[in-house]
Amino acid sequence: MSADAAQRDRAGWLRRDAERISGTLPPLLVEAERLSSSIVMGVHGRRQAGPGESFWQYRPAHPGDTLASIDWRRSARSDRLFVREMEWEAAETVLIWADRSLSMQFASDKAPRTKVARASLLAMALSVLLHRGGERVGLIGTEAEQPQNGARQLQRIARILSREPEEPQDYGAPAAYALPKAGRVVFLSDFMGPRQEILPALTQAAGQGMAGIFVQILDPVEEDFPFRGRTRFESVAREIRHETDQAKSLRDAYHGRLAERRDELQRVARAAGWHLILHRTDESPRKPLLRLHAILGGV
Amino acid sequence: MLGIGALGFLSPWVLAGLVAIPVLWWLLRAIPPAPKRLTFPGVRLLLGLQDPDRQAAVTPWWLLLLRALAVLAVIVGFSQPVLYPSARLSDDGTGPVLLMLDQGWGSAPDWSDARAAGLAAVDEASRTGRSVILWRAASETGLPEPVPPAEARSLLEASQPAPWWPDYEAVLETLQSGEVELPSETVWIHAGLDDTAGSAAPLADWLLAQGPLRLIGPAEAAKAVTPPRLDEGRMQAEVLRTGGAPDEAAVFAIAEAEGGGERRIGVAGVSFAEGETAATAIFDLPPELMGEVTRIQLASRATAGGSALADAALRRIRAVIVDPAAGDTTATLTSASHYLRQALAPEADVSEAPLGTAMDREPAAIVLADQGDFTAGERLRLTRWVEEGGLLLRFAGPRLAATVGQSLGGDAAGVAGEDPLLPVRLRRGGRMLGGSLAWGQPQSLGPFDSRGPFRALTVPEDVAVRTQVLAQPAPTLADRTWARLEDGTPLVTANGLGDGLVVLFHVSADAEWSTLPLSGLFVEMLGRILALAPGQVPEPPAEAELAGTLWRAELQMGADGTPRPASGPVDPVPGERMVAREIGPDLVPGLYLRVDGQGTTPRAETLVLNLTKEGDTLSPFPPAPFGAISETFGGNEPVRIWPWLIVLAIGLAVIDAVATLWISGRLAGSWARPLAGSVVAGGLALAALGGGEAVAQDRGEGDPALIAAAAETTLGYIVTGDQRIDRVSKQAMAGLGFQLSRRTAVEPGPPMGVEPEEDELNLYPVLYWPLTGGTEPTDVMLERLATYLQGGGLLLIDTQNGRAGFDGASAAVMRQIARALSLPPLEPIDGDHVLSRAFYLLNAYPGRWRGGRVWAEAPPEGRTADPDSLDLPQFDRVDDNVSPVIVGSADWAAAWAIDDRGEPIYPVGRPGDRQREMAIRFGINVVMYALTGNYKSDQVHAPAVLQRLGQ
Repeated sequence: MSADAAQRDRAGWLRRDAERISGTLPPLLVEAERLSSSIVMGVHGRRQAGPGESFWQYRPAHPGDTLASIDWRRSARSDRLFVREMEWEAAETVLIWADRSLSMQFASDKAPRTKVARASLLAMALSVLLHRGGERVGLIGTEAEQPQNGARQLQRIARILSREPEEPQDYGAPAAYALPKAGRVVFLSDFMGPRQEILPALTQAAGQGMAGIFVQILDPVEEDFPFRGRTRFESVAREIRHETDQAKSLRDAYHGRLAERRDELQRVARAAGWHLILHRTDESPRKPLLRLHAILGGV
Repeated sequence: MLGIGALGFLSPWVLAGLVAIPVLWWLLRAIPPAPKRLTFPGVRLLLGLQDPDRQAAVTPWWLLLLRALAVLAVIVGFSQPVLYPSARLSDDGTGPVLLMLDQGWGSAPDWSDARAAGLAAVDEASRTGRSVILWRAASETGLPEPVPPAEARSLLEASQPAPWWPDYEAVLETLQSGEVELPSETVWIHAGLDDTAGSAAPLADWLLAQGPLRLIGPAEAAKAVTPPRLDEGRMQAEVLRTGGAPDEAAVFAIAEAEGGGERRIGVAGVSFAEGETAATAIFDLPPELMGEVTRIQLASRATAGGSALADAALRRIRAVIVDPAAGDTTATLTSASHYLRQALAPEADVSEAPLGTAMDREPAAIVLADQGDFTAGERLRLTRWVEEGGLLLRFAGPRLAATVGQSLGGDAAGVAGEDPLLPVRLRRGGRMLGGSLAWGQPQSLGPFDSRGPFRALTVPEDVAVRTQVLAQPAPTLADRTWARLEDGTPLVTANGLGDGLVVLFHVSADAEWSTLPLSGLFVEMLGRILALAPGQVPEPPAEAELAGTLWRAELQMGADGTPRPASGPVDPVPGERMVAREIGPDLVPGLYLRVDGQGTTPRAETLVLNLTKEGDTLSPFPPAPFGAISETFGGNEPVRIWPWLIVLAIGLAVIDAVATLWISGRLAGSWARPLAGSVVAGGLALAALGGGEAVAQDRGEGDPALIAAAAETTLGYIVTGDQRIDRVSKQAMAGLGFQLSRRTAVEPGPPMGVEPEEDELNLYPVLYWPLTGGTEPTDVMLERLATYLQGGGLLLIDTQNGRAGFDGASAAVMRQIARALSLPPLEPIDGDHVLSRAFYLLNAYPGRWRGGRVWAEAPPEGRTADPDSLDLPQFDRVDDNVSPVIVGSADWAAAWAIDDRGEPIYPVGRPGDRQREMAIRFGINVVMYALTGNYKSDQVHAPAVLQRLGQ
């Protein structure tokens, strides 16, 4: 990225910081709102009466019903007393883990954003959607870990995701976290870490009995491997290196290994009834968001 | 400043960086080109993967070479090399400068260049305030001292080349002896020749050890000729050179002209193959002309070595044998004339004639075999002939014996009177020895007179004299006797008569009186006698023969190859030194006369001393030792090479960068090709910058110069190779073209120099050919010119020597040219020639010179230039009756030549007269003549036409 572009970005961030101070929504939140506005969130009704906001049914009043619970307008149309029952709307708990390690902070010149930016956007948009649906959202590994509902939680998540990622690790893996018994988990990562670190963590998470979704976010070059010539590949932290004389000749082998990694992810996911969503940063974020919504809302 | 050959380095210490190249090579070999670094999170997936075909991680050799070359170019470039550096002396030198001049015979052709180079060096020394040791290697006798530059300058300006070899050996000895101040720096102006001892190389090495050494020499060393000799009846001489590229040379045979002076009577050409050092020039001369040759000389760049005096080896004496008995006898094989003919044949052209007509043949010698008395008329003519320098060789015999004492009466003692046609007075009656009635034994020969011409001959034992005529004893008899019998009786006597010489053998020329004619001695004796014939220069005699003799120079060879009468008092030279050929200041090549009292030989013996002798070779000046700067005279402007080297280095670096990118695969296919193309184009452009001149020289198909010449009327001139003449020719054609454009409808393009051997000729309507001295057109050139003329071309030949015209050498060359071009007969043009009215009306054709004649093709037979005859031109000729050549000597080029600003360059005529204008008009007429042919020839008939119209 050239110095000019960096300068422009910095100016943009400054403006957005100013907006944040002046009380408007964090930019990520704005973007996420815009992204999620296209999706109509249905109420996760329990199809039974309970505490909720939407009307469920009228039922004849029983003894023991409080006077205040009598719906007088309905009762006036007949001779019996009716109670207005609302549908029970139990708030779902969704925990999101957005990988903010160094490897996620990579964007090739073919991608508009870094992977971590895309992961943050998806996490935020999902949070907004869930907030609208009245669900409780938490961000694993941050101070917003405790799932909560409400605008305050949304603001907190937006603030966390807008911060510069400060993860020192090259590759991220979900921390071993005691997940609540009920709820859903969404893992947003490139899952490029070492196999022996990533898979056990995922298996452990999937084995806790919660439903979950893996979203693998990859840069287009990570999928296409369009390199040729004498090259030394380095990880973002420059800790891992590989040098080759003919990068082109490695393409097939790389594709093979990438497919292998995805197969493993798929296997882990399927064993626990989870889902795997593949996403490239050069594609529209709406696609994975729709699938996330469908999976989360459809179940 | 360090020098290698013609290359000088202004900052030689930078060259020390060359040591770094091997180190660099090693480093470059060890370190492969850096791979591009790429951040790639997916690298984890790559771990453990192997390249399918893993290359050695070293730089390819050609990239190494490229980089090494680039570094080399940078290092050499920053050492600032200069080709033909102009500075004669190093900038920071102190101490005396040795200015060594070759000054030998070989330096004569380029003497002005050599002196100019020397003066330039002296000037530089004067600027830096250094003293100069001027050392003329050929003539320095004392110990040269460092002198102020001003004095060195005057000494140098007064120096002239010497007609002998430089003595580098002596220079080296003197320098090493320590008697002279050692120079801190040397400028050595040589002639491209080593000395005879080959001591130039050691001297150069020694001088280089003392300090910087700069060698300045001519581009081409002088050639030499060996003395002419006869081989199978033809005169031949070796032309010597030091080798090198194929070359040609011509040798003139020179004879004395009537009324003094010299004239050239023959020319012979030689051609050298590549590297050949000697070639034989064969003269095509009739024998009688051959005898007149006094010397031969190179046609161009003549020097003392390039000129050789002819000696007796060439001379064929014309001798006439008069044998009164020839008619009497049929026994021709035992007749006196037979013996004489056989004995004389090696030395002379022998013929026989009666006495009455013998003198009509203008012989050098008349041999009388036993002539009795003469008629009064014969005696008178013969006496006069001898007095004018003839050699009369007489033999005794019965007739002579019978007439002794009768012709002039004679006294009582029977002693014959003084007969001028006999060297001594004879006694009546001879003596007979060993006969049946005589008691004496046949006499053998005694020792020869030690001062006479036979002194070097050995006396054989077996010659017996039976009968002889006897000389009258007289006080002068001993001085006139060349050979005696054992008992002292004179056998051969001689006496001068006027300028001539009368020699008498006291025996007969046949074997009747003695066995002398049967011996080999007879031939040798006759040879020695014939050597005394007028105009004879004998062959170099043996050393023993010259011992104790003294010689003085009559003619001395000048450094320019022209012999001049010896001037001033010249010390006589002993014969031993002549034989040893110690040629130097004390023994100048030339013609020598014997001066030690030649009592018995009235005609002084002569001897020729040439600088060269048969079998000599010329050795070239040794190549400059490493570290010395070598350059040639003039011409070579200093060429700074280093900008090109730096450009080359930059170019190489660019190529290297691209190649490195290509190797590391960073050149994507889509834009690799155009980039590589631009790099290649850049490289080509660089190459074109360097080799631009070479490209321009190549006149092939589609040559722009040819196209330009064909697009317009273009005046051409023949390139002679002499830069001055070619420059004048070019300027002249430009000037003529300018005048043509101004005055006529002809607007020629820029003039073109034409090399007839290579270039296309048919594009030029007129070719100007400056045919100056020394021009030797080659066969190819003449053949192509002949083709050009057959195609209707016009050749304007200008010998540029004014009134001298075709006298002398150019006549021979001109004849050769005329034959080769198959030219028609030429005659001087008169006022009626079309040339005189093709554009302007002219009655003279001056150039820079006035008064020379202009020649063109003679009018055909039967069609004279009669203005009244209305003959139509012949239509059967392709050339429209245009003379194929116009030949003159007026140096028109100098009159036409203009400089860049259009001003005339050379003064022509006196101010006020219109000589230049006339020359220009002539030029315009020539071009018009070439372009319009005989169009204006009817002008010649205008009066007649008008007259007829009037009728």
